[in-house]
Amino acid sequence: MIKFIDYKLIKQPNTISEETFTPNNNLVEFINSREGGNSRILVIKASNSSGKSFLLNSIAYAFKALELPDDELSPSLRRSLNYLIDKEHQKINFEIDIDDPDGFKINGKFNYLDENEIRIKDKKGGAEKINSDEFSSRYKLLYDIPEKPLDRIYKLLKSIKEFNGEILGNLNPLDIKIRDILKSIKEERDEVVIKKIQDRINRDLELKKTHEDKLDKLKENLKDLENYDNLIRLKKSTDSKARKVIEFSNIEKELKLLKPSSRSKKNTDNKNKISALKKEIRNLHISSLLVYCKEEIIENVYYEKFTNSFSKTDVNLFNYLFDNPESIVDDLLVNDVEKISKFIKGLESFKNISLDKVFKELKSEYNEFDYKFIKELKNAFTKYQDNCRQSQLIIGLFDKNPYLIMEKLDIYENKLSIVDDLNKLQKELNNAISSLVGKINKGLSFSKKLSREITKNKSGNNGYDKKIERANNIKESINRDKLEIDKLRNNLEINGVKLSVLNDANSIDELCDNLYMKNNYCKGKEKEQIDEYKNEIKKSELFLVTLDKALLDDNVKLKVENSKKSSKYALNHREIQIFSNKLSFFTRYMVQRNALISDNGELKSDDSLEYKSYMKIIGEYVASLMGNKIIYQDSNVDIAYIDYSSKTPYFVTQNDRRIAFSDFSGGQGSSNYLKAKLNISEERKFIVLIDEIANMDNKSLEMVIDRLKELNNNNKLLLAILVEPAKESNTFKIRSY
Amino acid sequence: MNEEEYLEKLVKDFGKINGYSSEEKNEFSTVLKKLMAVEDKEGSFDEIIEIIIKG
Repeated sequence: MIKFIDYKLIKQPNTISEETFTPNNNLVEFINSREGGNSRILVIKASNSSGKSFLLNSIAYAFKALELPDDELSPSLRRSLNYLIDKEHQKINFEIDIDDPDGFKINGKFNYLDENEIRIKDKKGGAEKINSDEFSSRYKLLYDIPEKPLDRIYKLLKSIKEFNGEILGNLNPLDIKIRDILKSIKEERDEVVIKKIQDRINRDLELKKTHEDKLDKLKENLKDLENYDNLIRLKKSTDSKARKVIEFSNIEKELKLLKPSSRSKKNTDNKNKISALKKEIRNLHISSLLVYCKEEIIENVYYEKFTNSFSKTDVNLFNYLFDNPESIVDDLLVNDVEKISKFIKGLESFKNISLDKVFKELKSEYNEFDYKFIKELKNAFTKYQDNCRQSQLIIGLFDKNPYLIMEKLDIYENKLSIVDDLNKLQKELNNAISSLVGKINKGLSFSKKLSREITKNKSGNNGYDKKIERANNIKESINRDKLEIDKLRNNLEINGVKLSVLNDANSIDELCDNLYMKNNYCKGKEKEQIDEYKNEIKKSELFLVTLDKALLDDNVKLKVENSKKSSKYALNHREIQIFSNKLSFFTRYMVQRNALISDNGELKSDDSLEYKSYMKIIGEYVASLMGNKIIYQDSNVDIAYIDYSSKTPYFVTQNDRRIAFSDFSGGQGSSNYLKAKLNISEERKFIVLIDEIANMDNKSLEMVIDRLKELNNNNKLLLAILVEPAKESNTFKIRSY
Repeated sequence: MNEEEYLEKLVKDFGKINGYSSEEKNEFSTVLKKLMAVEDKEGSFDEIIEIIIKG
């Protein structure tokens, strides 16, 4: 309530038009007589030029109205205030004391000397000056003339924009802070991370063990296969060597009975040529090719059928050709033309007669003609199907779906494909034998040259010389066998075969039998199995190297993580991360919604579905600012929210009744607007100064007064003065509420 | 509707859009309100974590 008010207004000072004004007697009397009791709500009805607007302007200026932002002070009121303090025009001394509900007085005064202060006066008479910021943090000045009130209701959204700004101002640093927290927790010891790494290490160690076991097993199997192969080769080389030793011994005996050549020329060039020619013959690898052919025959899956088809002559021929692969090389080295020719003829005969006969028999068993027919038929079918998909010809011809025919053809083709295998094998053997014949012929030409060179060196007994050459060749061959045997024994020893076994032929046989049984699972495909094992071993070793690298890496990571300091929050990292994500999303949600309201409170139109719910929320918020009640057609109407979604906003009642903004009269609009401005949720105390309330009817005014009373009851009102003009002259009436 | 109620409505709307359960919405709202009430956000490492963890 006003405790004291005094002013002196000198208009046109120091001119002949000078006039002095002081407070209206009715006002002074009203204050001094305490007529209004403790009321803080005053309605002044006064005739024009009675000083009612001057009173509002002065109180507003005293309480810093000129510092209000543009949207809180209308341009016309701002102009009035600037006119008030224009010293060329008038001089004022003004002072007012108002009782604050909290037990002190607030004093506002200003004068033409540019003094303008607000003080807090306590009960003991002490006074403390407060600045504008302190004042505005305690009191909210509402100085208004309700102009175009409905437009301004629409602009109440600005308060939402401001509040959104406050929320975002709070959310953004919070969002950043929580992200910082997460980052610092990450750098702390995290038992979950440590456990994860430890688990991964354990899992990798287990995997390593499994793979090492698998690798050992692979190596063991490979060793068995290689040992078996090496033992067989060892046996062959040992037998070959033994045979050659006997042969050498026989030749030696024969040589003793023959007369040696009378003289021998010493010719180094010639010796070199002999050595080179021998090398050329050996480099033809005829014996290896013979071994290959023999293995191809005896190790293929049809061998049993081969042996059944071979005649006794075929078997003898086979043994003659392939049992002693070194003999033909020896014949070439001593140029035994007769034996060489016989061998070549034998090879051709074996290829053209023996093998041809066997393959014909085998293929007839599988009916090669059927196979050819099926293959050709299938090709023809496929081509026809590709080119004439829609044709009914095949169905017409065979009375069967073409796909069923193709299926049947596939079955036959698979069944008869064994013929392909046989053809392939026959081709391989024929090629190998042809190659052998070619090499022996080539060897023969070297052999002839060799013979000429040897003859140059020797003279006299040609038979003796040939024998001694053969003896030398056998000796060389024995040496080669020895080297091969040593190499094989060495490999076998490295692969774990004991020396005692290698030194005993029976033990070797026994071991061979054992390994044969052990390797039986290969079913004749030992060589392929060896290649497969080698590949698997390579892969396994590579995998283990990668695994070792991963383990090394994880062990370093574990060390690093283990060395970090422990934090009680590390376990909650996930929880904080989830909240941080939600907060970031919510901040984004707020930014997007806030962008719908422009800085001056205009609503940007966006009818997308996701913003519809937000439109309702702001509609509810503004409705609540108005106390969820409006005056419409002289009645109080309860409203639920304001629907801003259409061009003309609507008040929407609890029963979904819709009242358009444009349907309101000015007075009702003013009332509704003022109610909204007098926000009950405002934390500061209001100083309310409202000019020109004349356009409000009694009902509308009553609603505003009710809101002011509500504020007063909630200790939120310092003073409210509402003024309206009186038609009668010399009138200055004050009503208190 | 005061500002706190307005914020609560926003959180509810946000939760609904993101398919949160009502328990989840309430939890987020409670924690958010508590966090927003923290005066010195820069120097409140422990306080902020405790609020989030305790919900």
